[in-house]
Amino acid sequence: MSSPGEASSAPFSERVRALPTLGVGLSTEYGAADAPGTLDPAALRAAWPSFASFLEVGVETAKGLDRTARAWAGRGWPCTYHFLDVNLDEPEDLDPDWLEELDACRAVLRPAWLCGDAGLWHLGARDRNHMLLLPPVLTDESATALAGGVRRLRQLTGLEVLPENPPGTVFVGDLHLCDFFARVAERADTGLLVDVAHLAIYQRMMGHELFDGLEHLPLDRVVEVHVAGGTERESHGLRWVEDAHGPEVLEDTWRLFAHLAPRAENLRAVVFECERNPLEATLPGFRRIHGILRHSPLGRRMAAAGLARPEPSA
Amino acid sequence: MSQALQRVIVRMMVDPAFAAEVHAGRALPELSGAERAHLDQVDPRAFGTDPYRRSRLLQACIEELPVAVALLTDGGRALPRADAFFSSPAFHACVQERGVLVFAMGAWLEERVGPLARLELAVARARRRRTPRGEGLCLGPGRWPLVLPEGGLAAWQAVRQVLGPRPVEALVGHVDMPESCVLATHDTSPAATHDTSTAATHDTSTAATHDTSPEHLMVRVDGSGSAGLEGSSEGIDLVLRAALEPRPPAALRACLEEAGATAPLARELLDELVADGVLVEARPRAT
Repeated sequence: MSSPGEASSAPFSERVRALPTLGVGLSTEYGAADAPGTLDPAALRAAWPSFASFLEVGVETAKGLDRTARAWAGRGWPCTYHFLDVNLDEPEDLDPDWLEELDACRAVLRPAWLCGDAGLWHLGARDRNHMLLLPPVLTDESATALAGGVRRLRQLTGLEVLPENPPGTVFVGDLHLCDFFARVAERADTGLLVDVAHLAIYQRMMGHELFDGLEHLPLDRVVEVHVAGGTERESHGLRWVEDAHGPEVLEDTWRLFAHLAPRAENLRAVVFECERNPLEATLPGFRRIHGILRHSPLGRRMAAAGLARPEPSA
Repeated sequence: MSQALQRVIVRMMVDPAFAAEVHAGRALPELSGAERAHLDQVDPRAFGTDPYRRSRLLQACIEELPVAVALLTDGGRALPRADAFFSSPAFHACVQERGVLVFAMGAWLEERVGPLARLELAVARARRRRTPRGEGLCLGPGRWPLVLPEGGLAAWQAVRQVLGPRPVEALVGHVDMPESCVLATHDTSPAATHDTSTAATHDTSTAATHDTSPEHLMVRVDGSGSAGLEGSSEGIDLVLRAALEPRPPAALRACLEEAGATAPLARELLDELVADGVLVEARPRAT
């Protein structure tokens, strides 16, 4: 493993100042860009640089990095590392083999930070047949366990680890999701990745109003936000939203993003999760993200860094 | 522990019959009262929003265990019987105890179809094997010892041939298993003297020792995932099994001597296993 870096010793309020402004980016995962007609991150960056200021690479270490991720990293373009295979609340999941594989991937990507859904990524032991994604149990005890995993992974890698609120249909526990992640953030002294599409899914699934519980969220700890399209479904009369990553973003998701963006003073990055869609279909979403960010703290940082022009390349 | 609750949720998502029992009040000793109360507040319909979760897991398992699944056939259809694994105590224990599904299903199948299930289970284990950490010599990555009853390999090959180049697709349809194949799988071991057509239980831990002339083999999976078999022997098998965990070379030589090898021969055999890469140095423990 890499030596623990400075990132793990100072309080978050100091560490966050060293985090780079990444602007607006897109996500990918192994093989996502290989299917015909799907979004090519490098092509998007060439045509619309400010829509692809960075690439969030979803990684299962057993699969490693695909050629799209390697090519992007090889050009020195900014990345973040989104884990897809670690149950942070299970100490045995941070095993030496997985950490070695993670280290190999991060050596290629040189990510600004690690992030990912803080939920159940695999049933049973970590195995190629076991992958899924369920939300954490929303209790105080579970928040403590999850915070321990976040802190441990940060110590082991020297990188910030941003836990993300996962999607789902089964949410259990006595805490509101925002209260749960507030406790995780405080106990791990970490930043957060808020997926506003997942948050909208949760609010709807639990029968809450869209902005219920948001007062719990420590907005100064929100470093990254995800925006993604969802698809409304119905099963046995139960209406729910699938986290489909399509280009059509539900209005609830936009409203949450518009609420958070101007209030998140330490926000550094926004990902439009729209891999596996044609480039042209994703452009309205990117434009709207830029529009919402225009008068936000991140928008001002992006302007200073030259990342704020939602226009095609000259 | 919230992990216990999360694992119960997974079991409910995969096994609707179990979910229905839980919703009807089935006791769950693995959960605290508070956890049970949290669970009872969830709309039962929320557990069934992914109707293909179970079939995806089944497909993943039968891709690795096609012959063992085919041997479940009764009147041509094996899949419904294989699907029953996901409602079995073996499945529930696997999830709750953080096991590996394909291993659990392989063992479950061996109880039902006999020792031929060991071959694909050994391949699955070899495919996942990494060099352990510790001190001493150990079985290398991509390898696993295997003992089949006499004629077992030929019987496995016969069933595999019936399934053709796309075994999962073959299993979805009607599996027309030649009677000779089915008989071969059950009749080669003296342990199989009872009526196996009723899926009776074999003693999987000792079945090999009952074989009149068991076939000792070693599975070898290469970097591309392709599996092959190499011949072995009773003595080598003892060493390979002992070396699943790192051992001092002297302990491994002692295994060979217990099997009848002289001390010089044991030393020579062990050197050959190392030279062939079958046994390797364990990886250093993580700091």
